[in-house]
Formats: sequence, structure tokens, C-alpha cells
Amino acid sequence: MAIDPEKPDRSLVVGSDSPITRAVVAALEERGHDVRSIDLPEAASRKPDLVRSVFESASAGGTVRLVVYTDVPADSARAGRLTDLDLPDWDRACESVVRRTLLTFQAAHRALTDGGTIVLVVPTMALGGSPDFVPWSAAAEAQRVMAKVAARRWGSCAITVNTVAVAPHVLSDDLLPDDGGATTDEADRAAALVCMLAGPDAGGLTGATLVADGGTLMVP
Amino acid sequence: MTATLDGRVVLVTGAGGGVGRGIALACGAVGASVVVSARGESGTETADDITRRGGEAIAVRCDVTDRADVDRTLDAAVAAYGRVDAVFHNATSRASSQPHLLEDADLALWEEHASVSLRGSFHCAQAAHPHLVRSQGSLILLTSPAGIEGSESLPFYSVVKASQRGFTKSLALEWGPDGVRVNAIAPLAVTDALHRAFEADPTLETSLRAKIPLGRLGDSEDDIGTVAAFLASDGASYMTGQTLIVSGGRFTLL
Repeated sequence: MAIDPEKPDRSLVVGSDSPITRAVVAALEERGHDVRSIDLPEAASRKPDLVRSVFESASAGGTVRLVVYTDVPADSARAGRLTDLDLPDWDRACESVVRRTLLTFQAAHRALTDGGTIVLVVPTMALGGSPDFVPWSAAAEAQRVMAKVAARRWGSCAITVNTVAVAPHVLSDDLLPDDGGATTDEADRAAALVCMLAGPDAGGLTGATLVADGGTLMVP
Repeated sequence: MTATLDGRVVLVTGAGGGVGRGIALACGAVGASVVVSARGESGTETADDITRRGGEAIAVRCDVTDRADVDRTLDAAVAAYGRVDAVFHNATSRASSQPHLLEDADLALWEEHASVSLRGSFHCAQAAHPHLVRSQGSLILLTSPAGIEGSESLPFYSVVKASQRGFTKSLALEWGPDGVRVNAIAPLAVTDALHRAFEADPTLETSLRAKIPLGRLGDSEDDIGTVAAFLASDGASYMTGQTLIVSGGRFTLL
């Protein structure tokens, strides 16, 4: 891989403000990454040009090697029975989440011109199911398989794509437990896993889902 | 043991052809009254085939992207048969088998897929809920092995089918206390779209068969429809939140 001294390596973290976004940015910076944070505007889910231009701005002057996606659009993590939702609720919590992920993946593919790594962070709720979060569960499983498709498709471009599944409250301040307790530790541990996936030791890993939930699920 | 659906009413979306038609025929064969739903007129042929075999069926045109259409279809089911015991959401976009690239595909194509599979699931589930609570019935979504492992050539199809698995698991937990079961089937079967793919690439059928431990591609009615009928029957009354992969052993990872 050619190194351009004029364009040092750059890491992009795409996500709204949340425990995991903060932890990933801090962990990458601690490890010497040149990090740019991208907080996509709400309208981004229907505006490919907007996502593309945000990526171009964040990439300028650097060579993008890593894109971490921790995004949870505003209000998408709100609990409610499916039968009580209207169509805008459904779109906000499911379809919009998937569209934003799609547009981000496409922008990431353009940005990773010399290969690199994409790490997707999703809630664990879809792995075992979670009542009152049907749309977000549907979106999370869609995101996870989108990462597998990208891993298959872009492996030949030297791009690896993996998923880290975390407890929902690590992804959204809206879901913080009352005591706020262990969330920072959980986010820090998940962020360390993201850093591991971004490093050379994980070069042979792609299309995988790592569950960073302290052993709560232990999926088969 | 063959499932029995005597006295039960089953609604199948996208039942004008392929797997949906196979499910409708199989349910009709074991006693269900079948509401054959399709966006166009193709449901009539499936319904006629069921009645020709001595079963009971009506065809109703339905576009699952339109909630009012889904409500109207369920109303037609109740008007004809008095109840609804199982709803199979099988319909997929007409663009389902159209190859595309993840990096290039646009939001218009995404909308084609999402409107039928994602929004269609939302509409079918919401509209069916009161009927299924009344009958203590079940909702069954048709997903795909592609929604588990991801297909490089059909990314949007893979993504919407994966979404239906997440939908199934969480809704099963949400509706369990209502007495309504929610499951999914991931079939590998011969369909019109697959036939077209075989015609375009004559080597595809042989290479696909070679990957199936049972050595043959599934039949929509005899292999997939029978499992679907079982899921709708009392025999599956303790099963919810599951994805049954019916693929002749082609897919064993879950």
C-alpha cells in the first residue's frame, strides 16, 4: 500500500453524539489516529449528494483508511409497540436507518480508494429480538447483512467490513439506564474492539459480527 | 404427519406465482380456505387451481405498499370466511431478481425493495394484528438465505430479507403475550425468476444443485408449502420467533 506523505492516514467516525461515538473517537485518538467526526444531518437519509459532500470534506487532506459507523438517527431508538406506530415513526426507526447506512457505505467505498476497513456498530437487540423495538431491530439486521454484502463485494478492493454488536444503551443516550452506571465502561470496551478490527491483526477478518455485550447473549 | 388446516383461513401475499403460489396450494390442500393475494390478476389462476382440486379459495388484488389495500384484503377475507388465522407475507418487489451493485445502486431501486418487503411487512403486521389476536393465529414472513449470508449480486434483496428476520424475532416477543406467533421461512426453491436465471446461464442449475446436499432444488408447493402449512398449524403452536431454513441443506449457518 503506497503511503503519500502529503496525505496522512485518516479515520472517519460517522455517528451522532452517543457513548459509543465518544468512546470510539477517544480510543482512536489515543492510538494516534487522525480522526474526523461526521454527524449526518437528519435529511441525509434521502440525499446521497449531501452524504457524499460531507465525506469529501472530512476526507480532504488525508487518505481515508478507516470508517466507523455508529450512527443512530434522532428518535429512532424510541420504544413503542408496532401497532401504535404510524408510517413516519416506522420510517424514522427503520427505513431511514437503513438508507443512511447504505449511503454511508457507498460514500465509504468511494473514500477507501486504497483499501481499508469499515466497522459497523449495531444494537444487539436484533440478534435475540426485543419487544417494543421492532423497527430498530429490523433495521439492525438489515445493516448487519449489508455489511456482509459489502465484505463479499469489496474484499477484492482490499476493504474489510465487520460488525460490532453492542447493548442498545451504548448506542443511544436516550436508552441510558437510570444510574448511567456501566455504560462508559461498556462503550470503552466496545471501542477497543473497533480499534482491534481497524488494526493489522484483524486483516483476515471480514463479514463477521462480534458481540461486545459482556456475555449477555452468547449467540449460537 | 401432514399438517391439517381444516377450518382455518390463510392469507398469502404475492401468491400469483413462485413460493407464494406454492404456499397457497399447499395450505389449500390440507383444508385451509385460502385468500390468494397478488398485485395483479395472477392470483386468480392460483385460486382457481385450489378450487379445481376441491379446495376453497378467493383471489384478491392487493398492493402491500398501500395500507388501505391491505385492510381491504383482510376485510375481504373476513367477509368471505369470517376469520383470519394466518397471514403469510411473501410478496417481494418485481426488481427482486435484478442484479445490481451495492456501491452503485440508487435510492429509487432501494425504494422498490423497501416498499414491498419492509413497509409491506409493517402494513401486513399492523393490519393483521386484531384478526390474529382474535383467532390466536400467526404471522409468517418469507425471508431468504440471502438475508442470512448476504448476496453480492442482489444486495438490496439480501438487506430487506435480513430486515424481515429482525422484524420477526422482535415482533414474536412483542406479540407472544397476545397469543400471536410470528415466524419466518427462508426457502430455496425453483421459481420463475430462478428459471429465467437458468435460461440465461445454463451452468447455473448444475452448479447450484451440486451445492445442495439433498441434490435437488426445492419445489414451491411440495417442499416449501408443506413447511409453511405446518407453521400455520396447531403442530407449531409452541414455535415463535424462529426462521426455518428450507434449503435441502444448502444453508446450515444461522
